[in-house]
Amino acid sequence: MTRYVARRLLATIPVVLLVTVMVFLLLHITPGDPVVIMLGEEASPDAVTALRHALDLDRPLPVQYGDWLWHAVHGDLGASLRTHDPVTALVLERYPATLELSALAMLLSLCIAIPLGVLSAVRRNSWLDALVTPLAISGISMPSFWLGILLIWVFSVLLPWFPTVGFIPLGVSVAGNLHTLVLPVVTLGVALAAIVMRITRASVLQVLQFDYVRTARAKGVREPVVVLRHALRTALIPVVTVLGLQTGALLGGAVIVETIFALPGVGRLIVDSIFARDFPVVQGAVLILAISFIAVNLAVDLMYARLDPRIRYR
Amino acid sequence: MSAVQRRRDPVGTLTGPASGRGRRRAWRRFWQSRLAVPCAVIVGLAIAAAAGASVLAPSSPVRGELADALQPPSRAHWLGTDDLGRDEVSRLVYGARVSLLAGMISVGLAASVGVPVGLTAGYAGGAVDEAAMRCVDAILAFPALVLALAISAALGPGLVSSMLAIGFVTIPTFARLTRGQVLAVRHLDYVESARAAGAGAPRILAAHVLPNALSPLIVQSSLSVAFAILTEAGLSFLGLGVQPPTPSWGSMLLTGKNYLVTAPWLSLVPGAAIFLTVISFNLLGDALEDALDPRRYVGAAR
Repeated sequence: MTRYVARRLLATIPVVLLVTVMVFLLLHITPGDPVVIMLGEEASPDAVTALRHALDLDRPLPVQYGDWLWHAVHGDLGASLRTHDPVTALVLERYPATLELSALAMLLSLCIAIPLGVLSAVRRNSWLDALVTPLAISGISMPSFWLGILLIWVFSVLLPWFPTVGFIPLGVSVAGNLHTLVLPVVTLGVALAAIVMRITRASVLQVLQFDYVRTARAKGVREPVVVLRHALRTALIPVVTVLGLQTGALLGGAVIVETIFALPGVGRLIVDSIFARDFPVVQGAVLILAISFIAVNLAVDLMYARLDPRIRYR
Repeated sequence: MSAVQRRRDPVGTLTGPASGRGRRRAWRRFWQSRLAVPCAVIVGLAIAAAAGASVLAPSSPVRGELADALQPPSRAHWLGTDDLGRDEVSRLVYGARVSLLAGMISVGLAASVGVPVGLTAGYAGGAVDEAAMRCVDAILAFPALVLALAISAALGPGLVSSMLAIGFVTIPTFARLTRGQVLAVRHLDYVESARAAGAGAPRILAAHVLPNALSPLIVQSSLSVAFAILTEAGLSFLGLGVQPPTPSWGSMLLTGKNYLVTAPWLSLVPGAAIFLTVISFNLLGDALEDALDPRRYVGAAR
C-alpha cells in the first residue's frame, strides 16, 4: 500500500511540472509585446527597454520560468494588471463559490444517477431501462449554456420561482444561498448525471454476472440485499474513477454556468479577466483549477486503493 | 492481412472492418441500427445547410433593418429576427457553417497530431512512450474547456484560435486511443512476421497497425466532433469564438439570452440546433461502434 501511494505521488510530480510550464507559456504565446501593450504604441524604445528590464522580461525564458515557479510555489502568482491585488488572493476569494457549485452539482447528479443506473440494470429491458439510455445521451449532448437559459426562461421568466441571476453567500443566509443555487446546480449537474447513470448501469450489469453474486443468490440472499450490499460496492469502483475524471468537465462547466447566472466564482473571474486582458489573473486561476483537478484525481486513485484491494498488491 | 489469418478467423474477428468483406458487413449493420438513419439525416441536413448557406439563406445573415428588430416568427421571417433586425433563418444556416467547420477542422487537427504521436509512442515504447504519455497527461490535467478558453484567449478571440484550442485539447484522446491499439497488436504474429520480412517501422505502422486501429478512430472522430461543436459553441457563447457580425450558433444564443422575456425564440432556435447536431454525432458514434466492433457482431449472431 505504501509503495503504491509513493509511486502514485511520484508520478504526479512530472505532470504538475509540465502543467506549470504550459500555464507559464500561455502568457508567452499571446501575440504582441506585453510591454508595448502596457506602454502604448507611441512609447519610446528606451522606455520599452527600461520597463522590460524592470519586469525581468529581458532574461532568457527558462530563467523567467524558474523565477515564476519559485514564486508560485510560495503562493505568489503575481498581481492583477487591473486592480494590482495579488492574484492568489483574488482566486481564493472566488474559490468557495465554485467549490460549492461543483460539489452540489456532483451530489445532485449522484442522487439521481446512481438509483436510476442501478434500477435500469436490475430491471434490464424494462420501460425504465428503455428510458434511461436516451435520457443519458440527451444529457451528454445538452449544451449547458442552453439548458441554463431554458431553465431561466421557464423557472424565472414564465414561473417566478427562482431569481434570474445573482448570488447570496453561504455566510449571509443558508436558505437564500441554496435558493440562488438551484438552477445553476441543476444546469451543471445534468451532464454528469447522464454520464454517471450510464457507467452505473453498465457496471452493475457486469458485476451481477460475477460468481460471488451467483453464490450469494444461491445461498438464498434476498435480491435487494444482493444488489445493494454485495454488488453495489464493487460496481461503484468504476463510478468513483469516472467521477474523478469528470471533475474536469465540472470545473469547465462551472465557467459557463457562473457566467450565465452571474455567480462570483473562479470561472467568471477567468472570463472577466480575459476581456480585461488581465492575463496574470487568467494564468493564476487556470493554474489553480488545474492543480485542484490533479488533486481530486490523486485522491480518487488513493481511495481506489482502499476500495479495491487488488490495486495494493500490484 | 494474410490468407492464413483469414481462414482462422471466419467471422472477421481479427480482420474486422479493415477487410473488404468486413467493411460491407459493418455498413449493413450500421444502417440496420434504429437511430443511425435519423442521425445521419440530421448531420446531412447540417452539412447541406453549411455548404449551401449562400443559396438557402433567404436574406443576408449580417445585414438587417433595425425597424424589423425582434420580430416574432412570421411568413416573412420564419424564425423571427434578432435585435438588429437580421433574419434568424439566415443566421442559423450560416451558423451551421461555423459549427461544422470548427467541429471537423479541430478534430482533423487533433487526429493529425494525436494519431502519429500514439503510433510512435506505442511502437517505440521506452523513454519515447514515457515522454509522450507524460505530455498527454499534462494536457489532460487541465479541465478541457478551461484550457481551450485560456488558449483561445491567449491567441486572441476568433474562429481560427478556437479551432486551434479545441484541436489541442483533443490531441490526448487520439494519442491515447492510437497508442492502446498499437500496444494491442504490436506483438501479434502478422506484425512480427512483417518485421521478420524486413519491413521498416513506418511501413509496419502504416500498412499493418493503422488499418486495424481505424474502427475505434472513426468512432472516436464522431464523438470528438460532437465535443468540438459543443465546445466551439461554448466559446462563442462566452464571446471568445467567432466575432460579430459573423453568425455562429453560440453567439446567437448569447444574443438571445438578453431578450429572453421579449423574444424567447432567439434562445430556443440556436440552442436546439446545437443540441440536435451534437446528439446526432454522439449517436452516430454509438451506432458506428456497434457496427464496427466485430466482437459485438459475433455476440449478436449467436
